[in-house]
Amino acid sequence: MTTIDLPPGVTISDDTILADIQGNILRGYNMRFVRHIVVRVANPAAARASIAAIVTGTNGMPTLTTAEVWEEGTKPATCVNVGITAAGLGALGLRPDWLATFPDEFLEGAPHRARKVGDIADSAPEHWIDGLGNADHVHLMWTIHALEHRDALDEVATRLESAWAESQAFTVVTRIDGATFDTYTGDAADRDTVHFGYRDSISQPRFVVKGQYAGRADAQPIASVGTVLLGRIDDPGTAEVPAEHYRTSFPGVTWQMPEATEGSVTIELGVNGCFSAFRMMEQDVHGFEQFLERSALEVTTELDRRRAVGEPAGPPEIVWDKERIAAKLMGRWRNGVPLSLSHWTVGGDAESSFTGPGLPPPLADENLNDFDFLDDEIAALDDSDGTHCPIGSHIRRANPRDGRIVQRSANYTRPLVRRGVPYGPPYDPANPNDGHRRGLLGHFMSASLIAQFEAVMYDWINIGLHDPRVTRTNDPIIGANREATSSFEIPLPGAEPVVLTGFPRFIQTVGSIYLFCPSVTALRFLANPEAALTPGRKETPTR
Amino acid sequence: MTTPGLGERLLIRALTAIWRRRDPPQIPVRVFSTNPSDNIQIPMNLVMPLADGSPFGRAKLIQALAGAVQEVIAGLDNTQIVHFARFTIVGDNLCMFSFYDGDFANYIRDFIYNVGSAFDALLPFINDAPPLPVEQYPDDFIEWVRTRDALQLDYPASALALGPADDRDIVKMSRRLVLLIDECQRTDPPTNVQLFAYRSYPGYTVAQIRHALEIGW
Repeated sequence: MTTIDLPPGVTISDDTILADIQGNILRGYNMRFVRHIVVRVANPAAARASIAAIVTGTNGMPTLTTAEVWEEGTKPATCVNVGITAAGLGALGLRPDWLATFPDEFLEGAPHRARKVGDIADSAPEHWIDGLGNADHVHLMWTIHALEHRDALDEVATRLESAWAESQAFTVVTRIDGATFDTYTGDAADRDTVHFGYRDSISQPRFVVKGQYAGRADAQPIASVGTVLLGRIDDPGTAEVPAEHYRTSFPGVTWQMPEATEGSVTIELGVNGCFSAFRMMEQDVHGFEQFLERSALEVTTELDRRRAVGEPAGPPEIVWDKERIAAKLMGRWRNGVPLSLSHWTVGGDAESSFTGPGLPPPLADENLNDFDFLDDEIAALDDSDGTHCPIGSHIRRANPRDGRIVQRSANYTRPLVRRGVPYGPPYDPANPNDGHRRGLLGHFMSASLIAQFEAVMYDWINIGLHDPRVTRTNDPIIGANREATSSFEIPLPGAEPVVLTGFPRFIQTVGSIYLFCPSVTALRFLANPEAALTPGRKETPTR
Repeated sequence: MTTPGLGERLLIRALTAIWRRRDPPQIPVRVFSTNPSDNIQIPMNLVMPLADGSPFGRAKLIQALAGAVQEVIAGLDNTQIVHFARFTIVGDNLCMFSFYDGDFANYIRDFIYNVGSAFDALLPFINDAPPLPVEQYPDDFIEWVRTRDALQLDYPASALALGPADDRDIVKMSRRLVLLIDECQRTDPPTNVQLFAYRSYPGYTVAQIRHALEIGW
């Protein structure tokens, strides 16, 4: 395993390709501050000029961050990236016939697709903040990350907004700030913690760098670059990175390529780009903590009752405290340790069992993702029945890994690259009604929104179609739950499961934007399509 | 009921033209719902006009289908979301009637992934076929199927309640029904309409039924 900080899936020699890909797609920046500036195009010509200046870092503009390798010690203080909506592409002047080559779900936009991903009732677009519920209102989203200091972020943001005000390129719709927990607590150990107290950003699609695995050890097969980047699936590969590492998540199936055609010239706008569902998710931390407390008491009471009347109730040494309930809902303990690596079994396994109370001992970082759900050889490790990690838990819905699912061929076909930063201060149980809004700002990136992001949200998160034992229930953490119908089953070895009911939706969507994250080449095209389409002067994407 | 004569047909045409201007019809689209009951055992009535309706053309189609049957069965078994599927020639159309669980686009995409080559073999015998192979044009194929799937009217309830909820005048609703059917005939290809479907038990997924009956899923 390698820990070098390289965008995975491409070889070091692919410098021209790396320089064409926006930097936040293949790697997480792991920076402390983020600001998303949502804008509308006010003056198309000025907007195109601004994009051109940011791509090249000229005219006093910050430079767009690409996937080029950061050598040791050269991680920048700030990064700048951009995503564009369908309305934004139109506002920038992309011809309708070119726009029509983009996939329908992107063209329709997040508000139109809201019902499909469970953004209903209080999460419906009419309740989203700052007009984000109107797809025509939102054109681009500029994202600024700052490694250590908010001042650095402010400086870049001020530079951008001052230039836009002067040129009238864009008007700002809203600014959305996020910051990692350690910026509040001063404890570096809190860097990856998010609201609800879980450690986040552990599981990501794993690619290959020069024949070596990049990222944490993982029992899952490596992902191919085509699961997130468009246009790379025909890559012939190398001895170190074979061609199959470039395919889409559905081997043999390709996705629609956005393109612009003028006469005999065609520019494939999608190459080295991806789509992202940006979501602003507001979390009811107080309600969640109360539910954990209540559920711990209910489960303990129920199992005591069973034992009192001689019914099977699972291993008696298990402590059903709030941390265990939180772990069952997520599939991981709040310190990131997966249930699959800390489970208890009938008879117990002294080395792997954790009976509580509280959290299990932490695992080495590189081992946090090294598990799956089935084991044909060691019965104690097999979790077909969900007695370790419940079938309906969040991580088992969002990524069933090798688990048995209804659509037999769908395992590993819906991977999502997740980039998330929390917003709002950490919850203080001593001051639960502090008036702060808190949640997560997340990019969910993929080569196909409909085949990956929407398919996960619709089939698995909110219907539970993938397993008949959880069909008709929603994800307990992010699902569109209602108190009247919500249900979460915790299987127990040798005993009837305990069922938690009556819980509300803990995470409300307060904004969502479907974005196209173009390559540098595509951004240059958008800035000056005439130049790109002039025969002999065309800018061909680096394939 | 007798076939309308020329005068009556002209009158109907004139009336629908007037009504269209006053109340332009819109073919309703399926609304996404996260309610499980709205996503289980959904009918699909795919009507595909034959490219060659002659006995020779039909024979070639049947031969192609016979060669793909085992692949189709294996693929449907793999998706595990299809309750029933029937390929039937009705008039000059090859029809695939099925009941499936979940999202339409996911269903068709799974179908492409699992039995795309079977459709590649069959679609050359269909008029106005989508770009092939379907594995390279999945979005085009999904849209192609969607436009050839019959519009599902929950007849008679929704068909008789066409229009805004605060404007349920019986005459207006009858006009809207006429206009909707007229509009369906104007689309290319013409939109077929499913009027009514029945099942004798509450909706369960394929996997729920197989799980409950302990026959594996």
